[in-house]
Amino acid sequence: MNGAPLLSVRGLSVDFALGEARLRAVDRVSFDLEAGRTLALVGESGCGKSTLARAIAGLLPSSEGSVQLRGDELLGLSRRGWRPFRRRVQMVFQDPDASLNPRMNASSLIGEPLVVHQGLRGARLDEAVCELMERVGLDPALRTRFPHAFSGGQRQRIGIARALAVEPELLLCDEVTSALDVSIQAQILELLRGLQDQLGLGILFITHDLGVVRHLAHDVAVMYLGELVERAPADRLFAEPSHPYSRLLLSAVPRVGHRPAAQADGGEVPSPLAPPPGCRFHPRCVEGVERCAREVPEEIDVAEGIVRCLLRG
Amino acid sequence: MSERVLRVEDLSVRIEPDRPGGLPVRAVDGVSFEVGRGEVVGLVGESGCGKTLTSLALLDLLPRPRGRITSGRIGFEGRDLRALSEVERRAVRGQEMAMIFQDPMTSLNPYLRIGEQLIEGTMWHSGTARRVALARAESLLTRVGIPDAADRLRAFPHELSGGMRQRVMIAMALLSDPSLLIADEPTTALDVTTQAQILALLSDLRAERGMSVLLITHDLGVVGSACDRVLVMYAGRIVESGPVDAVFGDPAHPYTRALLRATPRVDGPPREALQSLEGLPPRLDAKVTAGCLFAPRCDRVRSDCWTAEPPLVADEQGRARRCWVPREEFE
Repeated sequence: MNGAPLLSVRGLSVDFALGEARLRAVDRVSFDLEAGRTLALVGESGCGKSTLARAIAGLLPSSEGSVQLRGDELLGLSRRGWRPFRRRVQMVFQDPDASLNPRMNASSLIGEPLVVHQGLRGARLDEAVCELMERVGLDPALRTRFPHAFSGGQRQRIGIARALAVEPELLLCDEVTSALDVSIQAQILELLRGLQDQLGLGILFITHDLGVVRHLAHDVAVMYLGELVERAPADRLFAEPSHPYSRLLLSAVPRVGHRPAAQADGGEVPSPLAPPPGCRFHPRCVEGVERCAREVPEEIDVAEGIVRCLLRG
Repeated sequence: MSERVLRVEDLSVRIEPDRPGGLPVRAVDGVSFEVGRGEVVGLVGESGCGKTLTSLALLDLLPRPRGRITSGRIGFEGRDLRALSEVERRAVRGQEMAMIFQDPMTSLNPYLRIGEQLIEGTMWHSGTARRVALARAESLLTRVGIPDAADRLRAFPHELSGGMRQRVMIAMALLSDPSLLIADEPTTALDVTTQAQILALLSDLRAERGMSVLLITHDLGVVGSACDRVLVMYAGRIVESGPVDAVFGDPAHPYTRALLRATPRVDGPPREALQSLEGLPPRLDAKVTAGCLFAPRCDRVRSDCWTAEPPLVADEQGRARRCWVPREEFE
């Protein structure tokens, strides 16, 4: 192991071509993630957070920038070039139904990566599958069952067991608990936290739920229209959010005994096809001044993070 | 509570099996509650607890032919809805009792302009002239916070954002000036900032029209911030009810307490472990056991919990709970 961070993302951009138009879904995003830490990526639908994770996992082509795993560049690798890294970077998705083959039983689903990456067979394979199932809180006696015989939470555990089978260093989790009931969500979140403690996983956790972030994340990155607008240690982001968008998000969360603050003008996220000039957030910003509509804010380095706002720094 | 708009007594809903040899499901079992005029009541619980089927039963919209009400009385504005004829019930549904759902796209016709969909009901029910109906639709769209309402009347549903579509649904529900709005997960598909706007809108409408709201949701934060009273459902039954602040501040049923402890909160301590609730809710198609249905997952379970189901017992403070563990031994 060298001294480079587990994951280092620099100036990463992802573009989609839509006929004549070009949609920049992720715009020059940079951050580091260390082993044993959880970075939560938050933002509203369409902000580019899932696209960012897919680009890091090599599932989507990036337009520019750099993604390094322990100092090794991943961007621009061919499928073959990705192969040695595939095992080290695993992804878990929101909808286990869409990512689990309904014709494979739990044993084959969890065992598949062990066969592919480690060539396990027979009794050793079966033993490894049972061990993984126990690790994620599934009864190994259920390993001959098919996905439909499991509940949503159990299917998500199968998805996590599959990802863990190859002993990854980096786990990219995209809204993994959004479809689950709160009691099941708590089980999955505690499972992830326990696994991180045992295995030292670095976790990039994508979610729209700031309550989940509070319970899981060491650091938080807030995304708006493809850009990171703030990155900060979780404690600071919740105690004193700096960017006006981070403040808006936090104030909008409904909680017991607190009427969420609603923006009076019904402000909505503008289309990423035509982002506003100047600061992208200025049409919805309560602090905005005249120059916010003209000048483009750059990332400002602050202690252990960044903020992208003309009125800060 | 002042005047009652809705009084549900001992409502039970049964869903027949979808294949031969299957067992019927007792999806809602002996549910009783009231909604006062101008009150916002939250019906909260996890998937499959019967909250949506309860609301569909109120609206006479249970999936047919498999779903039916097996017992109970639904008193609405002084009438027993179950005793009304089909024609009379239709006059209540969608008029005095309106509804909005999680996904407005399933309720809006994708081929019709917003304006046509908004005036259809008014013209049909009260024979209003088209021009008058359109003017009323425009003023309602403005009221629910849709900018450039006159232009929006000519838009198709897909041209609007999710939040705007939900506003259209609310405007449509308001057309008949209902006394009760049943809202089933109205903000679940929306981003948090849009959710805050919709909840604020519902709260304003309640205040200015004296409209009652039955808000069905799985989100305790939404209930805690938007409702006056809460009904907590588990396995087809109400297990606890009362004023929101009292119930969430000092839950009196082990399930309510477990749900609150499992819910991640933005205002909680950083990186605090959530207390998960192990196991799964019971299947309601099997032969239901004699005891409390929550007993297998309960951290306070005792021997009598396995022998008989506890009744829902109310106290003088307007709270009720279904639990054998005495209140004073609870904490």
